Amino acid sequence: MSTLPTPGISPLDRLRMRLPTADGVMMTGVVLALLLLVAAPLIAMLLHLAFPRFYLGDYTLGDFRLFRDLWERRLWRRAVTNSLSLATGTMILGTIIGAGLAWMRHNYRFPTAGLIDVAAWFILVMPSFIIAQGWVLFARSGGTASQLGIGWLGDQVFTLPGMIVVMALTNFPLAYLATSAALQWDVTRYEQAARLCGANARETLWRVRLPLLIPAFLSAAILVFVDSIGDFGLPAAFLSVFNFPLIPYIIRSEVQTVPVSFEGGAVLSFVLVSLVGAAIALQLKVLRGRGTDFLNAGAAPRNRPRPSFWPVLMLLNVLFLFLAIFAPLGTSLSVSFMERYSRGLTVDNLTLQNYVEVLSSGSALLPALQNSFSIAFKAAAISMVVGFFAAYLLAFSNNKMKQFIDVASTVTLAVPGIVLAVGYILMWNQRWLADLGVQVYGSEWAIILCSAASSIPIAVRVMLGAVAQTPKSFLSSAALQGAGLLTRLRAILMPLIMAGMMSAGLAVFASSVFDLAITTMLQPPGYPTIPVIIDNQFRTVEYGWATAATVIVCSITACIIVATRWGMRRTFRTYFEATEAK
Amino acid sequence: MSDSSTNQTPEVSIRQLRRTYGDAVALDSIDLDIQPGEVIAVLGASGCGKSTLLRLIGGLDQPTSGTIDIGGVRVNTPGFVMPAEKRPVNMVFQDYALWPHMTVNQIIRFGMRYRKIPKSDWAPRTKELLSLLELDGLGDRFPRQLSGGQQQRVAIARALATNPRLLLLDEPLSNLDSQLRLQMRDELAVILRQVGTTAMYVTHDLQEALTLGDRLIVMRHGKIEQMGTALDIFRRPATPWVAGLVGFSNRVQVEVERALDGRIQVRQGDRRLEISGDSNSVSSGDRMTMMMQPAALSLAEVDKCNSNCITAVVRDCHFEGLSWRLRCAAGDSLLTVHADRSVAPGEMVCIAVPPERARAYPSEAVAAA
Repeated sequence: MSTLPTPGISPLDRLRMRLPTADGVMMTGVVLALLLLVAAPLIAMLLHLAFPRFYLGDYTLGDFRLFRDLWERRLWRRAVTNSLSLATGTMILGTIIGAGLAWMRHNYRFPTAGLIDVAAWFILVMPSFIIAQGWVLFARSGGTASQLGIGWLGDQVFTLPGMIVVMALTNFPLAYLATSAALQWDVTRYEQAARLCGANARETLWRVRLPLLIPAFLSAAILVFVDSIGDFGLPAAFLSVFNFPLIPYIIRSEVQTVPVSFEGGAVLSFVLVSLVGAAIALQLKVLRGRGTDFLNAGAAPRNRPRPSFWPVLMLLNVLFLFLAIFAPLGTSLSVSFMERYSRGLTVDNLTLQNYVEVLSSGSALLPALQNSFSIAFKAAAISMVVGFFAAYLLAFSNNKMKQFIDVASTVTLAVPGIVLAVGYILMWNQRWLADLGVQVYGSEWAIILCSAASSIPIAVRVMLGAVAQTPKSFLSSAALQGAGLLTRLRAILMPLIMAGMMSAGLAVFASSVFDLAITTMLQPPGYPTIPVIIDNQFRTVEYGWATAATVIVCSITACIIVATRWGMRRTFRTYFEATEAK
Repeated sequence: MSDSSTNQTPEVSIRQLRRTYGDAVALDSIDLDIQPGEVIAVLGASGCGKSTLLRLIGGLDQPTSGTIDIGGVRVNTPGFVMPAEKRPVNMVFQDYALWPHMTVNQIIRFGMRYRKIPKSDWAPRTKELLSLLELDGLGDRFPRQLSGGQQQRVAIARALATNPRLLLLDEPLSNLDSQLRLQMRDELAVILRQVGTTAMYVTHDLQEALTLGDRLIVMRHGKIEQMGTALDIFRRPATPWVAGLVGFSNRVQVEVERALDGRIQVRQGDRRLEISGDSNSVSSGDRMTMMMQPAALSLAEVDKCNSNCITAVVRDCHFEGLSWRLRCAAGDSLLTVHADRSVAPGEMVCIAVPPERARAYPSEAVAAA
């Protein structure tokens, strides 16, 4: 058998010795992309606090006067206290709801239990402003609540406790999923060991089971807090009915209302990020030294008995799902078929006119649809490319820059979209960039890049889950067959993580279509987008048009997702079968 | 430890190879030559550095220092490590690493494209390998549709498909059940002889190493503890640790009486024995530990118990199917012996010790091992 010649080190190889390796080039590219997309906007925001006229090329140190205004300006003070009250209340109630549902779901077997999972995911992927709009339509005078004879309940929604309930019903899925991860596994051996040591059932619950679950409960609470305090959708929807200033909306006012105050936006963004950071730091401090790895190979899915009181559980579950989904979204759907909102859901008030208007030529929806889908597609493409390479490097590289990639590809998960958008304004709205002819601010690319940056954590984490399951030996063996890095990624890794890539891409696409915070801040003049146009129509009380547009866009997006999934699975059937059989 | 047993140009030449991870030394001062067509079995416990050695040769990891030459060409110089895809080597992985989205044919042909094998040769070469590895008719199957043994053969076929100068095998039998493992071990030995490719086989299983390797390398703590033929290692372990590894589990304290030419005369209690050992490094009165493999010992008639025998009292006796296993007390030592008959506990027996099957090492070295 003839054997391969050893190629030896040619002069070309000696030249290559001085060049970075393929891995090195990829690492540099990903680091630069994350610097541009994530780090630079956040640094620009911080720089703006110190140098308020930075964007004009004036590097005079500011006097930090606006930080004093946090106490002196009544509106700002109210926004901070309101945001803290709302987020704290939501954190407590949302965690109780989420953990309670998870406890119910994973400890007992009863009909409709599986619907909790479906509902949690449905609410999680639904944009918060659409759910909030549904609640406004449900609760405001003459709305669904009034028609059902529970108008008093509707009135209660437009109070702080009411908003807490609405936000908890919107954000409970985070708590549900976080606690489900711990509750669905059976670790009864710990409890059995405690019982054998003489502890009774109550003591075992308090001293063994609950302490083991504390990390999950705490993570759930922090997730709900972070998502609530930075949420822009709810204040945007409620503002038309209920004057309850919150930090995200005041940031928008500072940046978009004349007189424009970028410095004010930067200060409030800093405050918002600091509150989020403090919450995460508190969580890390509490969890430090606490064992969170009790779920090991010995854990198995929990055995769920059917209790004698299962009808009660089922009834509670159905009522809850009705409240969380059908109250807001059912209302929105019914309003989309109403001629006049104030006349309620009666047969003679039913019409398709809203849909006709939304879809008619000259409607504002069609150009907005085109723009939003274009933005979402490009943002998904960018975050997928960066996310794919970042996930590969996180899983397989030993480079020192890996830590930066890890942090930079996660940080925007904790940075509210509105803050990231402010960072983009402050980064790209620079005189020297304009002088160079770089016009990102004021173009669709500001939204695309910001949406991509905001979606990178989803893209990276979803793909990392798939990449990390791919044995390194798959790539090593390809290298030993003579395949270079790009070939290994294309021929081996990509087919094996196709399902993860598809999920990541579709998740980024869907979230970018409806990202109200980023588009509302960065939308160029004369460039309509879906979330902004729906929000505007809603605030001008064009409820029929807004809800019909919401239904249409949600349906189209769902169709795109379903068709893409079907098409991908059909085209790459071999790849999907290979990974599903693993 | 350097190997210079032949004057041929080595296919692989390794000098002072070292790999560290922070303060941890995974591999240290490795010197090794592999001759063309030779099969080297690398034997050692988990963490001894044997897989690291394989990965460094394959280009899957970078050495901290030292050199590796393959086919007379240096594949790493300071500041440059030839990437795996450029090296004329291929590897059979412990988990086989068969790409689940490809068929057997696609897997075998994958490397032919990148190793510049003419396209016209792809199909006949694939067919030849499928036939060689008894995989005929399975070319269109996916790995999940194959048994463990078939998957292993596909991994070997893929590694051979690129005509590597050096074939690396990283514990390829460890994922198989014991029966299949035995069968594949013999098949693999035949295949390796048949293709004649230079190979390096890493294992922690002594039987595999003995069956497959023309030469064995025993590794410990990142260093080569002993290198030699299977018979050398099995019969003449250089250190007490290697002796323990190859089954010299019986230990008896002895005192050196005198050193002979290549042999040592020792005293155990009132008995005098002659055994193998380095006669130059011992002197009269040294305390040593004699180590023996149970299978090397046999029972002798008590009335004929004179030269090179140890008398002992049977503690217990267990039937093991083919023979009885006796545990016998000889002074402070417990010896294991296999016998073809049952012996009652408490009975006195005479254990014959063949001089060439017993080794003596300084007692402190045995204790340290």
